[in-house]
Formats: sequence, structure tokens, C-alpha cells
Amino acid sequence: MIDALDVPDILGEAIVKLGKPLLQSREEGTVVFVGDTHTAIDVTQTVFDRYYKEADLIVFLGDYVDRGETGVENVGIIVSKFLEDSRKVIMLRGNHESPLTNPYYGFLEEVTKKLGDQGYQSFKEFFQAMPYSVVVNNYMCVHGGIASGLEHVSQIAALPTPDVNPDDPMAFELLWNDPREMIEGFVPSVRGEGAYYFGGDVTERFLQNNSLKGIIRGHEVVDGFRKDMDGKVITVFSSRYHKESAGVLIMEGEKMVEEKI
Amino acid sequence: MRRHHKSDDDEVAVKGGNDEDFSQAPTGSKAGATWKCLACGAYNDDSEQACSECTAKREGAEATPKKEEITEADILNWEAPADEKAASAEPEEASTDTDLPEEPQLEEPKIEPDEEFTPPVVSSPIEAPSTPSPSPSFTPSYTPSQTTAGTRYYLVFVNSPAQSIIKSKVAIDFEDFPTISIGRNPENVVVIPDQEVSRKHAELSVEGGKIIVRDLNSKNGTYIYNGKQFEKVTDSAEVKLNSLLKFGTGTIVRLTVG
Repeated sequence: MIDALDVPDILGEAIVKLGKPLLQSREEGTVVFVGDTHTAIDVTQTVFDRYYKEADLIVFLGDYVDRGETGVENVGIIVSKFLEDSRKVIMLRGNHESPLTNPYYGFLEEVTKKLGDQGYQSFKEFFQAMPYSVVVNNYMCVHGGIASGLEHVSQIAALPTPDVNPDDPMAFELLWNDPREMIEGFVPSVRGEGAYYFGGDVTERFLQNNSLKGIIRGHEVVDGFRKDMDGKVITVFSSRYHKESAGVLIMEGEKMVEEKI
Repeated sequence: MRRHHKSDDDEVAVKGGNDEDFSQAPTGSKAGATWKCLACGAYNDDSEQACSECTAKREGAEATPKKEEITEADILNWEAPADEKAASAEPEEASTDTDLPEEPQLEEPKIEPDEEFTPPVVSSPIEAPSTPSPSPSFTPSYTPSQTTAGTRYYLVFVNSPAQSIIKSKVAIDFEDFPTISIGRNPENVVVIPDQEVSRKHAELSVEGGKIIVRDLNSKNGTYIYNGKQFEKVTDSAEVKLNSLLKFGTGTIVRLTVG
């Protein structure tokens, strides 16, 4: 078990290896996708115990903290593995890797309790350096979804960094948007100003323009998985707090396997 | 320039401390059971005899096992909730209705997998999302008949705090119910499982060949999407085919045919 007191140091070590807002596209054999874990260290640990050795890549889709009391350790476990082999672990940013949510959903309080008043600073710096997206085997991986104004994936590479909240509207939407196949265009979401639902038409167009097969994302509470738009948009949710299954998606070539842990 | 940071920080601060599911639905790391307040929906420790949020007495509430899960089949097969009698004795508006800021909270819609999910419909069959989970005992009780205009209408759930009903369809039949009542109360034609929707929230009717939505002085309002934003319905408004309607802060439906 990782000691919370060790986590700030490894964050400092890992931050320089995180990469840019859009990571370089990857083509890999066996890829494991993990959705929001929200402090569920048993899920995170099980993922590494079960898949790390065999998998070519493990992509975490964001939201490691808040809604529980072991966010520090949850980040620590993933970052330790990332430092062990940074080609094998990708840690994308979620909307909860942000001071917009941490003071209200538990993480700030947790960090302060474990690491003192200055403890949050190292997390804030780490969060704002995290990448938003990566394309793996022609699937775009992102926490929320596509953003209005995003025509090409490469635009993500040009997003400003560091962006602590983030404040950039497109970056914000990447972390906060949700897919809704029954609507067209971008419709304001109930999550609040600046967040949108993205419809089936804009998703199809985006995938075609970018020669992508689909989008793999987290962000919404589902019982492990939800598929939208004929499976082109896959939601993975891997937490415990919602009291449903923690889903882990395994891609082996053309085959997708949904596992619940 | 972003608009939401300063103001939304305040907004989250207002809501975050007392209304998000983390504090109300404790995680498995806490021992014991909780019970849910019939008046405001807040979760309380089993040892409490009054709600810590609204001070309502723990009347008729039963301890809820931590690991209780709800499946889509549970929702589809829902019958009148056991606490209906107790619920009907509560004030017309639950306290969650009165505590809300005007703007929605900047966060995931709440999901509380427990008995709070009132049935999505009482009088109309609900059709499962396009990838339904098995619910062998659920059979629509009748096939919706044609409306006066010869068109079969549906409300499709675009968003709901009850995630499992997103994408599901409710048939609405203006011949059977010339006025389609919508709200949280089980007696409505379309029942919305959302604490922020009023008991009698809105109604749909056909007037002069047009479908009209009328807000029934709901606490959190009825809105219609104008292509750019959700515009508040002050009294009534025409609902064109494929319009998006928002009830309160967390439920969005779309009027469709077939």
C-alpha cells in the first residue's frame, strides 16, 4: 500500500513525463481502458494486478479523486506504475482533476488532512499538466467527449497549458461534455454553463473527418459500460461509490471485451 | 473569456456542501445502513431518528442496505412505491425544491440507486433504450393508439438523474389522455423520477392542432430549447416535433414520433 506522504514526491517526478495536451497516437495490441475510479483504490489495484503484465497499454480516462477518501493513494498507485513504465500507462485528465470540483467533492479536504495545508499544491500542478486526449487504435480517448468547435483532433494539441480549471472553453468541454445520440449538434447540458451534450450527427461527422472508429470516454455514471451511436461512443465507469459495477474495457485488435470488477 | 469560473465557484459552493451525493449517499467505507428522508430525500445514518437535512421525523422509513442495487428491470417493472402513503402526507414541495439555486449545479446528475426512483410512467408504456437489458417480465400493456392527428408521439429521455432511463421512450396518447400531466407524483400520466421536478410540474395538450406545454407553477420551471438555450416557459408554449423540453434542472425530454 502506498503511503500518502510519498505521493507529492512522485508527482514531481512524473509531471515532466506527462506529455502534451494531446499525446501522440498509439497503435497497440492489447489495450485496457479504465473509466472514472473516484478514489476506488481496489479497482485501480486490481487493474494493475490483473492486466499490467499482459497489456501493452492501460489508459485511465480521468477522475481519480473526489467522492471518497483515498484519492491521494489512488493517484499515487497510478503514478507509481506510470513511473515504472511511462509507455505502458496513460493518465488522462478528468473534470475532477481541478480546483473547480476538489473543494466541494472531498479531495481538498482529504489532501489537507493527510498532507497539510500545502498538500494540495502539488496535485494542482500535476492536474494542470495532465493530457486531455490520446488516439489509440483509431479511438479517441477523452474524459467527457468532443467539443463544439473541435473539427480535428489536432486542435487539442494547441490548447493552452497550463490551464488550472481549465478555463479554455474547448478544454472545458472535452472534460465536461456528454454524448446524446438522440439530439443534433451541441445542446447545453444540465451540468452547468459551458458544458454540452453532443449529438449523433456531430459525432458522426467528427469521426469521419478524423478517420476515427469511435470515442472511448468516462464521465457518466453507468453500470460499468454504456454504448451509444451503434457502439461508436463507449462510456466506461469504474468506480465504487455509485454501487454498480466497475467496468474495464479490454481491446484486443478488433475485439472488445467488457469486464466488470 | 470563460463565464463560469467566479460565478460557478460560488454556485458550487452554495450547493456542494449539502446537496451532492457524496455526502448524502455515503460510500461503502462507512459501516452500517442509511435511511432516506421521505421529505427531502437526504440520506441519514441509521442511528438518527430525524433527518439531519430538514429535521423531518423518520417516519415509515426503513433502513436501506448499503449494497442495494437497482436495475433497469426494476424501474421498468416498478409498482407504486411502498412509501406512497407516507409520501403523500408530506408538504406539497419537498425541501430540495426550495433550496435550489437558479442555475444547475456544475456536476454530474445525482444517481442514487435506491427506492427513490419512482416509476417513469404510470399510464403509458415505457420502451427500453435501444440496447435494453433483459427484463423478461416486462410487457407493454397495450399498443399506443393513434393521436387525433394520426401520429404516435413519444417523449424520449435525453437526460435524467436516473441514468438508466436515459434513451428510454414514453408513448403519449392524446386520445387516452387529452391532457398529459407531467410531474413527480405517481398520479401523473408521465412520472418523472427527479427530486427537482415538482409533484405537478407541467402538462401537454393539443390545442388547435398544436401541441402545447403548460407550466403548472413548478418550483424549478419548465424550459423549451430554442436552438441556442433553454428558454423558460412562463405560461405555455408550443412544442414542435423534436423540441427539447427541460423540467426543473436535471430532466430533459424530446418530443418525437416513432
